[in-house]
Order: sequence, then structure tokens, then C-alpha cells
Amino acid sequence: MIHTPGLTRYGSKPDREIAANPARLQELNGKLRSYAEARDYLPNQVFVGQQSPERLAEIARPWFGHRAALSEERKSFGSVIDEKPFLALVALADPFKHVALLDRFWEETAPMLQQSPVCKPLAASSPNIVDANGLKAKIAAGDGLPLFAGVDPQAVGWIANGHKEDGSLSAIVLLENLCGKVSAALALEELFVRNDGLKKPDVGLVLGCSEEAVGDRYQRGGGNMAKAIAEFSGCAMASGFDIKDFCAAPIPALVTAAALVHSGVVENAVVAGGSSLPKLGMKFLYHLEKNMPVLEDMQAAVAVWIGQDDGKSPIVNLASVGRHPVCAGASLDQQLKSLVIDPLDRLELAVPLVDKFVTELHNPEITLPANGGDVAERNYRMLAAVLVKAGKLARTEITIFMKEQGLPGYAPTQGHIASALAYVPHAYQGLTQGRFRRCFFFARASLFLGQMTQLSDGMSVMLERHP
Amino acid sequence: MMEFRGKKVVILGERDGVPAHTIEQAIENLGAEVVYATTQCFV
Repeated sequence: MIHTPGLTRYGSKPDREIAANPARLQELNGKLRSYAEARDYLPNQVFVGQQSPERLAEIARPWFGHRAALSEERKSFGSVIDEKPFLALVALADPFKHVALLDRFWEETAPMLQQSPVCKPLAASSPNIVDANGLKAKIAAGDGLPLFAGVDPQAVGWIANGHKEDGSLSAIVLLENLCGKVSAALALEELFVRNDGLKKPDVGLVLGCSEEAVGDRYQRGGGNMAKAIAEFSGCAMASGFDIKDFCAAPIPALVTAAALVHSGVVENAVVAGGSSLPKLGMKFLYHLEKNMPVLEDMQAAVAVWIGQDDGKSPIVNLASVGRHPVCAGASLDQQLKSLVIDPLDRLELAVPLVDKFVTELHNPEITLPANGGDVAERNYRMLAAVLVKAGKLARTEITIFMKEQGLPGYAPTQGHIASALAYVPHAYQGLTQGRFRRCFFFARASLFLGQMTQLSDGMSVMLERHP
Repeated sequence: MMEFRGKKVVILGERDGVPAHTIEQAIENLGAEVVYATTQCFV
């Protein structure tokens, strides 16, 4: 995770609201969190594996007033990065040098990169540097966007438009793409730092499943972010490609990676979901209205390594894959039949044999104030109803099913990251060191938002303890 | 039961409930004119 309060103004919703009413910026900045507050926020501690998801049920909301004490019992599988080193990496990840950092900011930040085990491997080069007068001139000229660290009104950098006439290469789009690239690369570094069995030259393929659209005016969304992530991460032997399916993309990416490894096309693949800049501050007006912190100040990324059978790691069961065909219908119960009921039937697997059903795990503390409901709770309630209708669950078992085989929401509203992918590291721990036998992942995609079809999509897959 | 024939209808569907397109198909069969239909995704 990366705490990015200074970038929150460039989320889609804040950007539009501030353009319409510049006073909104001060209101937004007045409700952004400090790094320590964001790092110690219980849902974020759950996200990086310092706390278990079950811990959320023990602490009453509001969680933002509660500083989570670090757990001695659990082992983190991630970290919370501060905005300053992240901005520095954004500059270093920019091969076309559209990003320039203020000289004083780089002097302050460069040592922070070297002190971080996940930032250091990405910080082998030097950024484009500008002095205070040069930065002032760029801002006055206005052909791009100033970059800020936290709520400090003094800019610490600049990102120029990539082309005067190409909206696909505007500064805001390039910034979105660079954030996705850097955050995904940081997630890959977490994998390398924490897994002795995986070396960078061993990675044959990176599959991107983020939400950006890298391209130009003649091919918006042309890609290939995955290859850019592989290059920045130093995975010299890797090729890559992106998989698009709105928020559901990580599941088809996991399935594709597993299929390619299983069939022998590559020995090791990494699925990389980078962060979403546009979704920062998506519900900030509601948070301001409720006089609470703007909680959508976090960018998040997840990387999953899929390798050959090592005799101990969980199995991606390709026979379990659930798809949502065109003929299946678009309502939620019809989706759940295709994604959950059909695979369970095919595997002849009873509901109690699945330890966790994993789906959209958005933090309810973000969505409830915006009248969006508790997404996780609502999904599990509907899943339980569909299981009852299919004769796989008794009506009297709904409450216990939701508690024992469901999960509380804890992920930031970063779309694809919250859509099951965030739980993969927890499932890995449960399937290797814990009591889990099976975790069933499913995610849904709101294809209708792109206005090419009225349909939704989705995919599901089972992770199983190694026999 | 509400009479839809000859009525103009605005439909707001929800991703986690019933999408607008499904409501639209049902309403049109009842003789109403759908003037606007959208499905919202709140996350």
C-alpha cells in the first residue's frame, strides 16, 4: 500500500470537484491523514498482513479513531509506503522524463529510497531534476500538473503533458499510468524480498490486471503495462501482457497464469495488479459531509507468483474455474449461479468443504457513509440466498455461513484490488500454515460502464492446500 | 398493480441488485416507454 494524500487531489472525483469549486481543495486537504494514521489504520494493517481479517470483527467502528497495535502473531506480506519515496519512484519510472523533481525534494528523498528494502532495488537511476525557479516557471507555463507531497502547498515536482494534442498522453493520464506501474513494481519487490525461491531472472511472464489504459490517441488502451512493470522491476527475462475485465481482471489473470505454467509455456508467471489513481477520493464529498477523514488516500497493489508444483505451495485448481457466459443473464443471482454454483456442482463439492468464499472486500467504513452499503456483507448475503435456493445451504445456516465462510471488507476502494485479489496473501498463509483446505475466489466486472454491452462479466477459481 | 401502458419510465439499476437492462426488458413488455436507463456501480 502507498499513502498518497498529495495525489488524492488528482483522483477523478476530487479533480472534477476542485475544477468546479477550487475551495474544495482546502476542504479535502483539511481531512487527509498523516502517514502514521494511515499506516496504523486497522483495515490497512489487515491488508498488509499485520492483522487478520477476523480482527475487524473485534473492533467496533469507527476504525479511523483506533490505532492498531502491531500484532506479534502474524507475519506481514506487505508494507505501507510513504508518499515521498513513491513520488521519487514515479520520477524514476518515467523513461520519457516528463516528471521532474525539485532538487531539494530529491536530496531529502533519495536516502529514504535506499533505506527501504522494496524501494532500493527500483532506485538505481537518477530522476529529472529542476530547481525552485525552474519549477515555478513550469507551473506558470501550465503545460502539465504540479506534484505535491501531502498537504504542503509547495509543489515538489512536475509532470508534463506527453503530447500537446493527444489526450491519451496528457499529464493526468501519464500520472495515472506511472502510479500503476510503480505500485505494481513495489508489489513485485515484496515478492522478491519475502520469497527466496523466486529470483528476477526466473520470471518468464508478467500479467497485468490493473485498471489503467496505456496507449496513444490512435490506440487508447493499447498496453502493455505488464512489460513496463517487468522492465522497471528488473525482470529481464520476462515478457508480459495485460488482461482487461474491469474489476474482475485479477481472476482471469490468475487463471491464465496458472494455465500457462501448467501447460509448460513458462515456468514462472507473476500476476501484477497496480493501483488506481482515479479512484482516490472517489467518495470524499461524503466523508467531508460526515466530518470524517478522507479514507480514500491509499493506493494499493498486489502481486502473485505462480510457479511449478513445489510440493508445498497451494494449488490453483483449473478444473474449478467458473465463467459467466453471455447467455447466463446479468442479475446478481444469475452471475452467482455461473460463478459459484456451477463450479461447486462440477467438483461435486459441498459448501462446508470450502473454508472461505472470497469476493469483493471493500472497506465498509469507506462505502457506508456514501450510501454504498457494506459491499462485502451484501455480496455474502446474496451468495447465501443463492446457495439456499440451490439447496446447498439451509436457510437457518445463513448467518453462520456469512460469519464463518465469508470475510469482512477491509480493502481500499481500488476496484480490482478489493475484488478478491487482496485476500490472496491471506489465503496463501491459511493454506500453507493455517487450517484452510480451500478458498474460492470470485469477482465480477461491470462491463456496462464502458457502454459496449449491457452485460456484466466475472470469473472464479479455487485455491487449494497442497495435498 | 400499477398500469405501465403509455407511461414514460426512468430506470435506475444497481450492479449488486437488478441491472437496468433487466428492468427495461420487463417494463417494455408492459407497454411503457423507457426514456432513460442506467446501471450504477458504487465501487
